[in-house]
Amino acid sequence: MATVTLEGVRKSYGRVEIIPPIDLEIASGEFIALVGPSGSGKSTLLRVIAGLEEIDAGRILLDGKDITRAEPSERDMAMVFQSYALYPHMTVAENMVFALRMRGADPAEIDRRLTAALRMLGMTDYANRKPGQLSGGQRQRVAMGRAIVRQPQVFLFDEPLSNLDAKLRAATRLELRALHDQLGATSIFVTHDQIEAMTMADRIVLLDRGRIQQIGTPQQIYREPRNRFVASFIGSPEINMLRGVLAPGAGHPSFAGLPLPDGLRVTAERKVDLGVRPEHVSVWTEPAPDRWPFEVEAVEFTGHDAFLLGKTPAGRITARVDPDSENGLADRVTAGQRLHVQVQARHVLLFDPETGLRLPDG
Amino acid sequence: MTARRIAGRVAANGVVWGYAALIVLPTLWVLSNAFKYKIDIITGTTISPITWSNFEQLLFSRQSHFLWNLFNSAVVAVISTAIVIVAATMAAFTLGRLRVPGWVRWLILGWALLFQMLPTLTFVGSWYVMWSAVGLHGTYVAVILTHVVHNLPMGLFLMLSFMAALPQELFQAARMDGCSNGQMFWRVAFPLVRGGMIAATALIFIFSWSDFAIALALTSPATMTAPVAISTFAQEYDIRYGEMAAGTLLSIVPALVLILVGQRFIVRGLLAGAVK
Repeated sequence: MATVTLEGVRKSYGRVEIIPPIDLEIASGEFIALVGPSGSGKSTLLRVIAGLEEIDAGRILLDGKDITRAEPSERDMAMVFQSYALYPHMTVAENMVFALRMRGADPAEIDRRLTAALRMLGMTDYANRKPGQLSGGQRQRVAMGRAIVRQPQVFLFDEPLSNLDAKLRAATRLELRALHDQLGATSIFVTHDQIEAMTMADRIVLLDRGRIQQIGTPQQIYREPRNRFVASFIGSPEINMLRGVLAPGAGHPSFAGLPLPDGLRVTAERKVDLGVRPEHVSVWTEPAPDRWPFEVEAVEFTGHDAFLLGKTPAGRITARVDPDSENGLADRVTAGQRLHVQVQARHVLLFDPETGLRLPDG
Repeated sequence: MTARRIAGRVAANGVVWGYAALIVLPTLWVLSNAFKYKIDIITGTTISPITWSNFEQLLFSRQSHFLWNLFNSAVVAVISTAIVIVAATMAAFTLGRLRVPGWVRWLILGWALLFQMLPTLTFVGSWYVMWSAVGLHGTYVAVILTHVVHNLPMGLFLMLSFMAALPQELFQAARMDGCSNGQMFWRVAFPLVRGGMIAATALIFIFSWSDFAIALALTSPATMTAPVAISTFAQEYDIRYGEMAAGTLLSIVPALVLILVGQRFIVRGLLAGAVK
């Protein structure tokens, strides 16, 4: 258990600044996800914390102790790599205890920890296999085991689930979180997969081009995104983002000349980016004063959801439809059909078109 | 199959078989000469009585020291190859895996490439003068060290490609696990490039074993290697074709054995970096 603190950490390769000065405080025992698109600097940041990359400025503290110049092995951190990075010439057991052996730990202690870790991961029968003789999921376990036996203060995960198939990934997600809770260490998890971040993390750090866009719980990030990037990056399918003029109007406010239902307080006319998530757009067959005409272009059925993609006078919109209700609408809709949509005003997010920052209502 | 594809196949097969014929036929001709009487060789008889006299002359006559020459070849090739492989593997690890300033890496590799590109004969004269100046001409030391210098670039490039094929994350994991640079080499890199080392060993050994230019300039009768000895069978008034052929056949054997043993690795060595 340890806190990890980054103070003004900056990293550049030559003239390219990968991470502009960054400050980040990670609490003891916390599960933090670093999320962002590729090239956002999230993996670099993890490597910086691990000590595999030197930094150009700033300090890294572990429980208040400056470890900026410490060797990776002196930082009491263990890392699970994306490719697992298992030593191909060593058995599962040898892989797992390699770090302890290098440290010259007591053989009895090594044995005890190995046995415990193998049992915890259900890998006891595979201790004498080489990594080449294991399946992807088993290799992933060995990589975790290698980190566990070290009993580090901090676990670093670099997209450890991205090489697993979808089903295994979902199961491993739960296991990994359970393991974190059981071991009580601090975990820093890098992923480009927002679902992983949302489901596992206590807090999410969303990065874009090395800059922290927002830090918050999954709920905060999803419901109260600080800017347009955060709103667009988190959520699947992506949030609908429409640009137009928002006006108070007489009685009902309007957007791009289209009526909005009650629930949004608009005081002055201004140009905005209006964001509304697919689940906050309701679909109707009948017109009404606060509904917009909607021409269906495509229907995506995913099982528990159906999404209608189509055109409104304000722009393209994706709307979520519950396949089990709304009178079986989802099953009947075909491309080319004309329907009506209503934007649920109280869920609308407004952004400044210039800065991308979120605007308070009105 | 279209006519164009058939034509393509015919052309491709023609090139491959033509190339094979270019190598195999002269070899067969030389090898068959080893079992012929001199008169049959000179008259160009294809099918002739078989004789072992060439081998008897070569191995047991008083004028010939061919077994000794083979021994010299072995001493030179084994020792120089061993030095090259050890140096090349360590250098490849250092250049490819450790933090070496870019200019150092380019200087060394650029020099190695330049050296590799220039014909051996360019240097042979200078080497002769240098070794004579320090009184080492005609010794094993001179030939072995010159072979090391000559073959090191090739060994370095081969080992670099094997080293580069190892994933970076493996070494990062080793660093996290507390390995020093030395431990990273011995415990991670070395076990994983062993296959590559075998391939490089086979290739470098063959280069050294079959070298003629350097050995011709730097050996004395006491340290003469097999290729040089074979050339001495061509004298002013008498070219002993039969013994040359027999000597060639005998000197091919070690290389052949090595290739058969290390074939799997050699192909991988030649293709390293080409695929993926």
